[in-house]
Amino acid sequence: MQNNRKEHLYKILVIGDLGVGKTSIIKRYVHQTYSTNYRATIGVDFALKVLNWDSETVRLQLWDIAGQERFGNMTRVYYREAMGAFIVFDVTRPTTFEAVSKWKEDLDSKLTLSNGQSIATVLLANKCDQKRDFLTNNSLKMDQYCKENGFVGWFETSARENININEAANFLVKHIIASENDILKSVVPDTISPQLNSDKEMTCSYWLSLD
Amino acid sequence: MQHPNFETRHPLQQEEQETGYDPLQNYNRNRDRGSLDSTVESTLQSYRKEWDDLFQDSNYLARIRQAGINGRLRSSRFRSVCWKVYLDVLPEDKTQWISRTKELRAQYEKIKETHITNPRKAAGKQDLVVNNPLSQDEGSLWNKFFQDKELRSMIKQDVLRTFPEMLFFQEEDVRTKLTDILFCYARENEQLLYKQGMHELLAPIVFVLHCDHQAFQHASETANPSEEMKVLLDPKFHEHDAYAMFSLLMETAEPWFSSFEREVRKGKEEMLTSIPFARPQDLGPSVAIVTKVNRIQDQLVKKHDIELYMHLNRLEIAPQIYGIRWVRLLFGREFPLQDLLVVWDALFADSITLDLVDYVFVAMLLYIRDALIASNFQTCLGLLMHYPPIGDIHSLLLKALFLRDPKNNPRPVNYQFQQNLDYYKTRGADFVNKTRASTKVAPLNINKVSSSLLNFGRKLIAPMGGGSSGISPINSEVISALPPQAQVPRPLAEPPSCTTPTNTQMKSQPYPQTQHQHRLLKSESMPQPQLK
Repeated sequence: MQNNRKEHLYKILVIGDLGVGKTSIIKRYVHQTYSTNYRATIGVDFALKVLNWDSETVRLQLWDIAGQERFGNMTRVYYREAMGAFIVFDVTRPTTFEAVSKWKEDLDSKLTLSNGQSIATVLLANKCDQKRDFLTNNSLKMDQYCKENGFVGWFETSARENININEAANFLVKHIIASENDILKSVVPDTISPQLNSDKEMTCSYWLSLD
Repeated sequence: MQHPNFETRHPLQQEEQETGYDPLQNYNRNRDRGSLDSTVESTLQSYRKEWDDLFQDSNYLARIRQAGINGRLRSSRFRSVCWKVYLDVLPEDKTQWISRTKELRAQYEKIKETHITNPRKAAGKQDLVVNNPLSQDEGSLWNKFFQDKELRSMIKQDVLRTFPEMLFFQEEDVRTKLTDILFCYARENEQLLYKQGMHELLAPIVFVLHCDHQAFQHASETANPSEEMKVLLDPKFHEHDAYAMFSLLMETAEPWFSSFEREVRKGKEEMLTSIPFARPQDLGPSVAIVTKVNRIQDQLVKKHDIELYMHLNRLEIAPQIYGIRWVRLLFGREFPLQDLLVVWDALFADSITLDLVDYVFVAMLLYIRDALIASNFQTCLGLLMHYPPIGDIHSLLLKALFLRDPKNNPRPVNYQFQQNLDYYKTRGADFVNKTRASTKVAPLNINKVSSSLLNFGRKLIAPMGGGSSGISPINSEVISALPPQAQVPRPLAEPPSCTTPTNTQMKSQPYPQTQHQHRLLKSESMPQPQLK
């Protein structure tokens, strides 16, 4: 059997303050499960998700970064070669929203695509099952906030109730593919230009052909 | 819940089984008869004898250190006392044990009183202009109250997620103890405050104390224990003693939690080469933990296995990706609790500086080195971040000792992958029957074994099946597919001192489901359908 499906591998960061539900979102997305029993993430963890994307295969490498690690230089190593990010906050705790812009700044200051753009980032307003009126009260404000702070979009999500997790991921992947196509178009073949943030094969993703 | 007996039994009862001896069973049997017969006396004597064997000798310190390093505390009822000595909570001079213990407990009493205050109670004596709930004054008791509340809720958030598989840590009073201790520690160490992971250093300490208290209570119901035992193992001071042990452990572990960054001092050679070929982890200032794990990889791994070192570097796997958790939690997520306690026995017994951590780290890498070397970036990450089960923890410790000091420690047998051979051979629905039937371990084929470990690594990261919802279980799925680890047959070259339960002993387990529960502790996030 010939299988010429193109494969993409994208590294996606999941960041945000302590206890906003990053691990739960990943478990929901990857394993279709939810539990209140997840331990606190220490340092970083990762998971993989495979999608059929049109006629291609998309592998997502989801990096679950401990909320505590925003401070300092450590995130640099975790961020490298990422193509997209979710920044998560907890709609029931306003301080976690205040931290969103700090996470965004940290991300943008340490990571850019080879064309200088920041990576596609989606804002997730998690635990929306615990605060049903969040959307009605904040929809316009959130649109505005995303525009001002460089998010490609936002979703209210619930890992517990499985609300909008797949939708948000598909949305992010769409933006990643778009930004990757932008970069590919701008790459001039047969020249090598030193790029701090992309030292693996052209862009941050691998292209593989499976025979 | 599936373990109704858990709390009424000695929590380490299954361990007692390993030595063919169960004090609680004897106790219950005798109580039924309403008499105190020779079995009880022997139980008590053996409790006393265990104490004497550990602490009687004038040279006891060297002996208990050796016991800890050799895994002989696995079923001890005085593990917490040994830990206290190792951690310098108790001085070497035994005549000071009681006074020192009382002193430390009084200290904690005071600390707790200072930090856990209710502003409503204290506010009566204070100036209402400064001390009211709306005051902006930084020195306001109410301001402190609100700050405390924030700190407390951050701690509580992690305490609620501590060993979620164990009923013990679901109990409200245990959770309150954990929270109070961490809170007091944070207030006593304002620079560091509370950092995630501290809770998982504290939890095993609290658990070990609890186990020893239980054993003490059972033993003391039948006769008079010594004055030392009574004071040291008094359950009333569970929290006090845990605080003392935790804060002394943190004296060594503190830098690994610190987020204070500084420029890493580099040797001459590194200075010359580091700029043009700098890896991302070499850039900029660094926190102590990052410096530490990089030193381990760049120096120790390079020294002991240059091929593995080059492979990890080629894949650009920075040690802080997997190593921070290993070191910070003292390998708490890498081993199931019963094995973890044996690792800690050795780490603490060896030296309060926890010098052995670096070598356990390297030994763990070497254990899976063949699989790592044959793997790509993703498989390697899968193996490192979801470390495969290890059958014989003692061999790992022997390896670590040998790596540190090959002249004074015997070269351990190469135990790489042996357990996994058995694990993979017997994997399947009829796992339990098969292992119980097979008393002999089949001859080993190292190549075959390492390929099975490789498959384990691949399964960790590879997608399952074809469909669009193909998922790659990294954690829950794989772990939940694991058989209880204790049932893995022992490797051929088992050191005699190790007390890992054998298959035959396992058969006589009265509470196999409890054992199963313990063995599942490794999983950090496994779905627990049976837990409601």
